[in-house]
Amino acid sequence: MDDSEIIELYWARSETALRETERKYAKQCHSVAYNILKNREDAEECVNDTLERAWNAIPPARPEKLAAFLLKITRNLSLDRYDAAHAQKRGSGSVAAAIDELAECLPDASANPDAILEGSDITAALNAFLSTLSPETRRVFMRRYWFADSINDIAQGYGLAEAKVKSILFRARKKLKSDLDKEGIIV
Amino acid sequence: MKANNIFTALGGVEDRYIEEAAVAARSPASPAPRWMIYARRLVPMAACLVILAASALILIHRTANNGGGAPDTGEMIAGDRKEIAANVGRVSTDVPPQQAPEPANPEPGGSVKYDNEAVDHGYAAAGNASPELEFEIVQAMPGDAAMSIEALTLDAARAIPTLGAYIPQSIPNGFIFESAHRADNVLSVHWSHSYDYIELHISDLTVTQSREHMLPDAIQSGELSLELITARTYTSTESGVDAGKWMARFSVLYGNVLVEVSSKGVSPEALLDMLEFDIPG
Repeated sequence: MDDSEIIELYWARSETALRETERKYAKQCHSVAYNILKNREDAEECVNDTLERAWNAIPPARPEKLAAFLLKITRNLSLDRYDAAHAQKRGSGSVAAAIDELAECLPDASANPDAILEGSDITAALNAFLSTLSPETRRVFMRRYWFADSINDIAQGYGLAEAKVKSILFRARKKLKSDLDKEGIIV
Repeated sequence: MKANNIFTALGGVEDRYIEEAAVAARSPASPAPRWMIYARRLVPMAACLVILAASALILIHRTANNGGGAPDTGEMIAGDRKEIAANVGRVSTDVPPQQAPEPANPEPGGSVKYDNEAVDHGYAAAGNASPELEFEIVQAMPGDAAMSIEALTLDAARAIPTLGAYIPQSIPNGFIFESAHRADNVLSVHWSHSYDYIELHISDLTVTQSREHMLPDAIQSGELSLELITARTYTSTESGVDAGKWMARFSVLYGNVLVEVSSKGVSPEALLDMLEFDIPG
């Protein structure tokens, strides 16, 4: 069943919408949640919460891209759950490693010490940055820092050597730092 | 934690980027079936074995047809420059002796031309009961640059204008020079140490465009660092003699000269030491 048909089921308040959503997207949502939480039960709860949120959001929402809509909910729920459980520092395993890698992208604070930007501005800058990447680089970057996949999982998923994945990410982070520096963005 | 802000802000990026990454990759929860992983390794090996077996059968067949006088394959491969003063060799055959063609005479000052007719039709030289193939082809037809492969000593390789200057002076301990050759404007040099090796392919991008596809991933020589080299190396997961060995494959761009590096058993530190050098002039 394609996404438009599933969304129509939501609008018709048919519970088949939930079954179809689970059948089509539960695995991906679980993968994102597990990457962040590293706990199967917590990940399953996040997936269930995602379905509930989707049911409550549609209608009135009519997402153009259902997969992205659901995965965003899952990611946010997972991060909230993790933050609640670990007040001080986020991340263990691949999430912590991903955040540590992103620290390389922080622009020089001396460039504009008084600038304070909203999160939406950072997101806009990230969108601009992503638009400049090649599709392969962008997919690898997103799998690492949005989906929080491990290097090994990305390498297996795309049939690349781990060294190649690391090299792609290294160059992408370098470019992100350069782009944030040019924009004068302070994170 | 500020890097956390980037990680969080990524959550709001455009849906198309999320969908693109979500659709393209296989879910990590369901990796490639094990049989596919083994197939990816075994199929190229099987193909190599088939090619080797076919080559061996062809060689055996030719040997049998030539009565044991088949030419040494190594001598027939274009390599060193030589002038051949002798006639074209005679070929043993089951065809009853016929009048042999006039032997091909060497061109003045040049190499002997290969007499196709003598071989293809199996003419035996008059009076020779068991002729053998005697000639050697060591040089391609003059002017045929695409087939020219020039074997070199290390000193001769270093003396080649432009390209020779990019052969490193400092090679990791234990590695000995194996071979060097130039073909299609690319200078290739090979060192080995037991099962380990270092291979360099050096090309001038102003002369040849055949290596331009390597440029996007090439390291600029001014940016050479241990980190960049380490990012392009990995340790072998194969069993046996290669277990745990450093493996590397990357390129370094020195101005217009591209040096492609392929190595086994050389640490990133040793590669950096080898590749960081001042180009004379």
